[in-house]
Amino acid sequence: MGKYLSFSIIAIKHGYKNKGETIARFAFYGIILLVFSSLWNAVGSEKIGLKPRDMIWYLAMTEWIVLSYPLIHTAIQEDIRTGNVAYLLTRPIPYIWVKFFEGMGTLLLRMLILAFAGFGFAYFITGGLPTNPLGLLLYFPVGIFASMVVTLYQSIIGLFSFWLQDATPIYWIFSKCNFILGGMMLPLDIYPEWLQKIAMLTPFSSFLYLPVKACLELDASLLLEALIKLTVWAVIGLIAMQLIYLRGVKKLNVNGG
Amino acid sequence: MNLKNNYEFFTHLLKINLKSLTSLRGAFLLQATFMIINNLVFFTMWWVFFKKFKSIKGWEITDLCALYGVVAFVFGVSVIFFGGVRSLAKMIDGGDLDVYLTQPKNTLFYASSSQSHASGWGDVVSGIILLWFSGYLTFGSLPLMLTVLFCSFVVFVCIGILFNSLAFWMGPMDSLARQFYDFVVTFSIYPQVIFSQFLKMILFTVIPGGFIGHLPVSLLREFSWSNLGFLVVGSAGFFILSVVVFNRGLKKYESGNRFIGVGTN
Repeated sequence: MGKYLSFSIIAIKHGYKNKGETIARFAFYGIILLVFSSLWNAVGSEKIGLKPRDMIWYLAMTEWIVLSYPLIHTAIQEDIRTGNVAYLLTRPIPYIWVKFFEGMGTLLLRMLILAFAGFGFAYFITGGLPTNPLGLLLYFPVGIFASMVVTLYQSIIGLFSFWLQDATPIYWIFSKCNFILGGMMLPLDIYPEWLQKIAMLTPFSSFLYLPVKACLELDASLLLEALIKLTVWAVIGLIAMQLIYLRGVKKLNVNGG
Repeated sequence: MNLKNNYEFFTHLLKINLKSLTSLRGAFLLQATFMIINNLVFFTMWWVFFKKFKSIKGWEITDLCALYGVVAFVFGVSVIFFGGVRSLAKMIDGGDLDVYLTQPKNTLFYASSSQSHASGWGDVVSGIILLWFSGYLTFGSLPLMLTVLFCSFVVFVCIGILFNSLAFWMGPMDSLARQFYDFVVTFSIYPQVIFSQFLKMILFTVIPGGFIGHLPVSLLREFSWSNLGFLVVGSAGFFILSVVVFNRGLKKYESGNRFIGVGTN
């Protein structure tokens, strides 16, 4: 395990040096919250049963995950496109696990920095804490767990580069599904019932909507449901990642002749 | 160099870029198709939103449809014709402009149109679909539609040039320039009736998303000569500013000695 953690630590050190990107993410976080606070002020979120203040905190919490997870697929597809993967595969540790743990390092650093941004911007815009402030403390570990599962699925997307060279189109769909079926901007409660049912069958609602709603409402049963679902999707993701990776490596061997 | 020469050069470059894109037909179709799905899925958020709220200060779902249509179309056309703009900061910092400086063509024009992105075709198609569904795309409105789309396109390309040209003075800022670009897109796709006066002012100056989405759609909703004049003057202003800033920056450009490597690989 120590060798994997070393890759995470290297990624943290690398990410720490990349200050420009961190500042941009920080600013983007503030802008998104500002845009949506303007929107909710214009239409009034009371119509969907949520106080405007809680609505902004909801968005701050979902965005914390979305802005933190690293785009591992771009690193994987770059390795495959440039041929670097041939050298990386000869290491005595599986290539995909190296990428995954590097991603974890980047993720944890971003989550730590953006936690301050999210809290600061949301507090500044709303002028106070959410209805259940304790939920914020609870959300810290839950949000990190959810982000780790999202990062796992990001790694799986990258593995499709073995077949497609460029996995970006799959990432587009993944991010938009997170957006819509995950309830990133709008809580699933306001969706038509049939769309809510579809969303709850996908992993996306477990990534964003369920953990955020459970913590914001301090609902123990909903939190348990969120954690169980996240664990199930994590196990499915781990198995899928290993299977796709083994197939992808075989495909690369065939191409290499 | 006269206009005719520039035009011929541009069309040849476009043909080469298109050939290069379609040489990997599968990847081209995949990118274009997934971009269409991506844009249309994104728009479902507004469909859900307007199921609950009938309008946002007078803006209805058809107006949002037009807003997304304009931005998607303009974004698509800009990355098809001037896909190199997004890489300008990287070219400047890496000394990769050498290749273009040694050619008897305008450096900015050549470097900007040297790349084309397949996903842009998906943006163009989804833009047309959204404009069609908005109801604003009619035979009678075509001249106005083309005018506002052209102005929006000019602003979009020019702010890309402006952000990326900062690399002449600030060095490595490829990632930051892209983020600025994303800020502009983010602000362009929301109706500006929701923003305060101060934010509106920013949206027509520092982050000029107002010229890209809001003003063109406002003109389609309700035509006014003053707004059209504002859009035309604004786009002309951004065009002049971007060319001046790029040319000023070019004087500070440091060669990457790239021309030595041309043709030696």
